[in-house]
Amino acid sequence: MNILLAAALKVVGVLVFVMANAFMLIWLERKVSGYIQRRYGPLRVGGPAGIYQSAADILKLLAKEDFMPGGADRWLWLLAPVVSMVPAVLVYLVLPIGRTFTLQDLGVGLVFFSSVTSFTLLAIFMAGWGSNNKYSLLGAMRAGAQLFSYEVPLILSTIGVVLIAGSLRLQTIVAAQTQHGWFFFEQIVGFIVFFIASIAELNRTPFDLAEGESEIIAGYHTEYSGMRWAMFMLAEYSNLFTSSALGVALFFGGWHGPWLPGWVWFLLKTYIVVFVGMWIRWTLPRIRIDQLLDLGWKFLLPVSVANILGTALVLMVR
Amino acid sequence: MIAFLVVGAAALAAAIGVITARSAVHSVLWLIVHLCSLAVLYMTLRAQFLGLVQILIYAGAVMVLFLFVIGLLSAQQGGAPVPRAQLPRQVGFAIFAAVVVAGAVILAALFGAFQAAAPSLPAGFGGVTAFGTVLFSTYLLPFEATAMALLTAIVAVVALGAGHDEPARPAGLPVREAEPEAHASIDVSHAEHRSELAARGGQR
Amino acid sequence: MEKYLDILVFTLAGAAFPLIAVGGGLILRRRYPDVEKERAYESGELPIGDARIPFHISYYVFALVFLVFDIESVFLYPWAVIYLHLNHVLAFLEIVVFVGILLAGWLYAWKKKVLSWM
Repeated sequence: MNILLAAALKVVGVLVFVMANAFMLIWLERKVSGYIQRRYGPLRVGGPAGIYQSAADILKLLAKEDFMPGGADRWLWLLAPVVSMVPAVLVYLVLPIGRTFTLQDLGVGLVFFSSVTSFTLLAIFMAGWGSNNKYSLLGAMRAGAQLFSYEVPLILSTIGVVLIAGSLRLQTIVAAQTQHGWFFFEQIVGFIVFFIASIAELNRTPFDLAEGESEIIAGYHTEYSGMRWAMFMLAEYSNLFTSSALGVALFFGGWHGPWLPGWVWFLLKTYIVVFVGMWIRWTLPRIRIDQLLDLGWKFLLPVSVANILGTALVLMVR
Repeated sequence: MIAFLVVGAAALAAAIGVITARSAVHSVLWLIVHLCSLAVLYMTLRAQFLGLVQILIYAGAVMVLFLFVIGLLSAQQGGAPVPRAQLPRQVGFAIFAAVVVAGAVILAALFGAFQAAAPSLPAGFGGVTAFGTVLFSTYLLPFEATAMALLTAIVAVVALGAGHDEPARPAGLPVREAEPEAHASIDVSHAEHRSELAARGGQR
Repeated sequence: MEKYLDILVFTLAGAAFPLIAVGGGLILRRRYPDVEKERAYESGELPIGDARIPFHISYYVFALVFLVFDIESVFLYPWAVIYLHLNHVLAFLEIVVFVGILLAGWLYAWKKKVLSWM
């Protein structure tokens, strides 16, 4: 019974964090875009630092009429937001938040992370196919091609870290960095590949082909509105946080840092990575699909393989 | 044991879902549920790494590939339900085969075929370290052979895709100029449009 | 056992959360069903034909190549974990052969222009 209670407490904590995090990141995204692109709106809305805007958003989403497009595949359409939410919540289990604080420190944490996040594409495809809308299906197919092209570099870019740390347990990988120094310095190639690939996996500009609003309206979630649409957004912002957190754990020493408690360092570093991602998003234009595929298959893939072999060679000589 | 029964029942139910679903996409989704149940079964057998890899490869890659194939081939019928009793005679065969297999398994269990299971497992069994140690020593040759098998797959892909300047157009779809419906095939007509332009301009 | 329970609880909660969130707004929500609202959005025009259009074979080809390399990367996980415990030279050669064979295939696909869009 106690284990069940502990699990329930954990999941409630995670869900509260997911909501608070999305609330904050959407606010941050508006501010960052406002300052970078000189948008007047986000810099002048009401409340302290424009916080009313986010509150109004939530109210609007709750009150918005909820209807299913005609000719939709009922079950696919209804289940897609659910399928996108489950992996977003599950990945919090393995994040090494503090020195002794992980919700569930699995021995194969890194594989757990990548296999759980592979469901995101499934959710996108269900939404795209279920909506009975051409834009949705186009967005889903594009998302498929994109996620296919970047998942391999994403996995391969983490192998270098695993080689040095000798473990897939995220807590062990962080602990190895406290003695060894942050892997960012040795694995800078790995980190660059990881960062590019994770932005692409998140479908964020410059890789937002799946939902490019000037081309295909909103891509796979064109036919969703109100809270159902909000679930996709919630999952997306949660994924933005968790994939940045994974980057921090793998390359920036996770909770490792002086003076402050571990979890503060972890959150601080993660939000810095998130900020850099936003910075990129509001600075670069969207790339074309042929450029996207070329970058994935003809640049990131060989570079990440070379990184693995190079790392192994250095370890062998050492 | 309880976990095994629950997950096994889920796997069975999902398998029935696969064959009774009326649209191909639903079948694939049931198959995903089935494969995930199998992954959980692997985990109950303490093969954690294998279970996760099962999810990563099958649910994350192979099944999406299936969905792509449906998108490629039966786009017109993929969404529409297929009448249930399309293959009435198959049902009889299927039941017969199921009874034979189930009978064989039950007989084998009765005669004690499964009692030789090792009572105690070495520490770390099924973990990634144990898996890797065995894979890179005892099973090194099969491992390298896997690379050859994957290479064959790539060659097959090349054979399939090398001629892809011609867009794949399932039979029965209207030709581009013929009807307004052709506007729907935006991505398909792209290459065609380009070659048309080239023909007009006399280049390429 | 505890970790599987955690995974189970997280999965169920993750699935329940959208249902609760969608249900939660019911009191605030009005419903005015309308044929126009339920029509698929096509930039304000009437939808033409079936939305489930056939797609170019390129998508499928990329999916297949992805599958091959996904399997490759999965094999690299256990190798990377135990690399430091194995005989380095031997382990390195093993993986060079493995990756080399696949890279040959990758190069072949590139030269045959399978990895180029359309």
